[in-house]
Amino acid sequence: MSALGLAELADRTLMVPGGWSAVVVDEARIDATTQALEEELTFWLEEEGIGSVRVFSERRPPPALVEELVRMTPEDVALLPLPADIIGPVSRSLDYERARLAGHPRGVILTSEAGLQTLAAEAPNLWSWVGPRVWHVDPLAGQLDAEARLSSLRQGTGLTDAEVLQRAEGGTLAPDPVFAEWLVLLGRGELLGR
Amino acid sequence: MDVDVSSAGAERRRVALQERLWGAAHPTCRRTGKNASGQQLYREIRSYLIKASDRRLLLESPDVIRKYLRYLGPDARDYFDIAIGTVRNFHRTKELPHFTRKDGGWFDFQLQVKEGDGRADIIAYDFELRLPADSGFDFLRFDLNPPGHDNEADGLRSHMHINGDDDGLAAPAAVMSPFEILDLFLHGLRRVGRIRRSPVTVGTGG
Amino acid sequence: MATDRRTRFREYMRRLDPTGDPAQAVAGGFYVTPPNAVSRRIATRIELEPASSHLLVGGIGSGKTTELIAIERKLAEVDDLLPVRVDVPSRHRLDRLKPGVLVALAAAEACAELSREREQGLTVDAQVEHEVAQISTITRGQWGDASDYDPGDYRDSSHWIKGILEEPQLSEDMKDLTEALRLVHGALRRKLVCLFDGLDRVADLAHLSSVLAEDVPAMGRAGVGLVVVGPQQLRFSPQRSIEQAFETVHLHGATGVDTPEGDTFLTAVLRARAGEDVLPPEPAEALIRWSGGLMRDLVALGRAAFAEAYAGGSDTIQTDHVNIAADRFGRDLLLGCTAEMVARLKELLPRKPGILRVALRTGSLPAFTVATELDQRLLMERLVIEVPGTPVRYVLHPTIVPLIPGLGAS
Repeated sequence: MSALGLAELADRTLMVPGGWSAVVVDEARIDATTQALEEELTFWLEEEGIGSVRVFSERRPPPALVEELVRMTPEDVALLPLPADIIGPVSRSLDYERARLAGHPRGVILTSEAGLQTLAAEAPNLWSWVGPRVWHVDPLAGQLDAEARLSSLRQGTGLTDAEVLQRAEGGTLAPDPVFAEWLVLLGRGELLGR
Repeated sequence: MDVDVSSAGAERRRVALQERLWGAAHPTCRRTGKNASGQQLYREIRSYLIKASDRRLLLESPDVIRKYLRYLGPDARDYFDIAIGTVRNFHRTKELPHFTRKDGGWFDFQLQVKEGDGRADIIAYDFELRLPADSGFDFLRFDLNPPGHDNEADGLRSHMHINGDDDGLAAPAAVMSPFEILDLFLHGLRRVGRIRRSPVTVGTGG
Repeated sequence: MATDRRTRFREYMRRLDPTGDPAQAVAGGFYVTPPNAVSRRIATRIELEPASSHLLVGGIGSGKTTELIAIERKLAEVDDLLPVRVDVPSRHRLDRLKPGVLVALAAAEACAELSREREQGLTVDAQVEHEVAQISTITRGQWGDASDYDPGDYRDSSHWIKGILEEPQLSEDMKDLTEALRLVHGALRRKLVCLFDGLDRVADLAHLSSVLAEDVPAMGRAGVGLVVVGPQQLRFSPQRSIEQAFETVHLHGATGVDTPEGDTFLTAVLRARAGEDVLPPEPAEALIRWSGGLMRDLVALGRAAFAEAYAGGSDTIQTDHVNIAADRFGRDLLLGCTAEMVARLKELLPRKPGILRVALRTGSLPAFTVATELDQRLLMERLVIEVPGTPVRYVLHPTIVPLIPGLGAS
């Protein structure tokens, strides 16, 4: 499956104005993913200096949603967290009115796999707009593997975690950037400066 | 103090220099407001590197940059780490993740951030650039040591190494933001063909 | 200042927009006339018979709206014709579609044109004036008693007799409206041709059929030309007899990628957006193959390939980028599938391993008659593509063919 980090997902969303995409996550993770994606998009849009992100998390009648979407510009991003139980009527409405949505915001639908099947069935035109832009989220993208990193520090210096901690607690640890990282990775950043 | 040429006098002046450098450092190393997070700094560095790639200042693609630039945190004590790749490059191994200039110069870096009280402080970093052959020197590294009393003692919290890892060859350096150092790595530190020589004056009275 | 990669790629991707306004794409010079274009056939017929009616059906993403725009542009070149394209869902709620809506929309357009022509010196008699008022009353509703009207009191709707576009229509109104349209239209210098888009999104075919059964003949009686874009599945439904209400029915669908003219056309569609310097012939050909000849999918795949090339640091599109985009496209199409659909796709996959390559290039599916709801759903969700011709052919979307064998494997 196409799993992307949220940063890359945001980048691909913003490459062009307008357009629709779908992000597939577990139902329980829809809201958290929406919030995290909103942060990434906000950062990128501030860098570009044009457009803003809006999350449509409150349930509203689908026609009212369309009215709000058509007031947004093609540089804006509309995040639509749509659990499987509500995606049907919303996507139908978007499908009916898609002619009005052309030239309006970048739409991102966040839903589950079950929700995606509903979208495909109930909104085939919108589904064809989404096309190849269905993404799964890789939650570990960009994250440092702490244990692997620590292993490289041990190999590079010949020291153990215990030795480093002992020196830090005793105030004899050399103030070297290597050890700053070491203590942070061990979750003992508070020992810095002793 | 100015005329005390002993090592003790030099050490006192070096410590004073560090205090001056550190005094100028706060706006550089302390991030406030909406920038008060390691995550935000991470995003900014990533954005900087991708833009550099877009302008072909770096050879790595956006995909590779996203793959190489890593973060961890904030942890339970509000510390945040930013690094290149998983393995720390102790031996200047080109096979490990790094970023490459058009002229073949290549670099990596890591830095640590402490969040809290509405701010994010960069507390330690090291940025190292390895230069192409015939550049005049092989590598240059800017280090910001973590806080510790040894820094106060030897006045070398912020320093640079040129071609040597021995601490005895370190020289004090300005504390810089990650972007100031990256600017130097990308746009500077390369031969330009202009060499200053002491003018040899014969009978000019100058 | 040299343009950076991101800016360059964004410009190409902007041109490859599968969701953009087709009118802007046409105005931007991206339209290429398809082989045996349905737009050409319909426009030619309307030029000869301005009051004729035509039904245009076709698969999602095949470019029906674009063809409708092409019809509009062609007819606009004819002095005494006034083509007007109307996206019905933008003017009237599809879930409240009822007989008379299309006539009402045509009548509104006729009144607007009358107003314009009067500004240019056209004179009309009192009868026509009366019909204009009649049209307004019937289509938009009226207050029962003007003296009771209180614009500040929104609670008092009891005196508002709602018009066609809000409430169920009385058949008497329909007759009056049709007659009013006939008279107003007759007074115009230019003859109205209504191009109704958006009805392909109506899910309730029985309801749509009842609307067309009344409105199409009514438009004919009023002398107004008509093109309606209808749902692809209408042809396979019990309501297909409604096609007889129209003088001609045209099927628009994917372009056959395995014919020289099809290949030339699809290449021209790509070349209107990206030259060989950034999209060399081999990856362009790969895009065409993977798209199955469906316009929107060709453009969407193209855009996705550009996104891969940008992220990967390349300055040109390579076949690898296209293949990655196609793989993602196919997987996304299959994400919308139920288990039942997967089983049916496996049945439809050509048996012989060597045929797999052929299935990508040519060939039609065995035993795909679109007789079942399941097969219709495969068509609606573009897992199966309809290629008009004699006979009409059905092919699996090329992007899913390599993936089907691995589906449902434990």
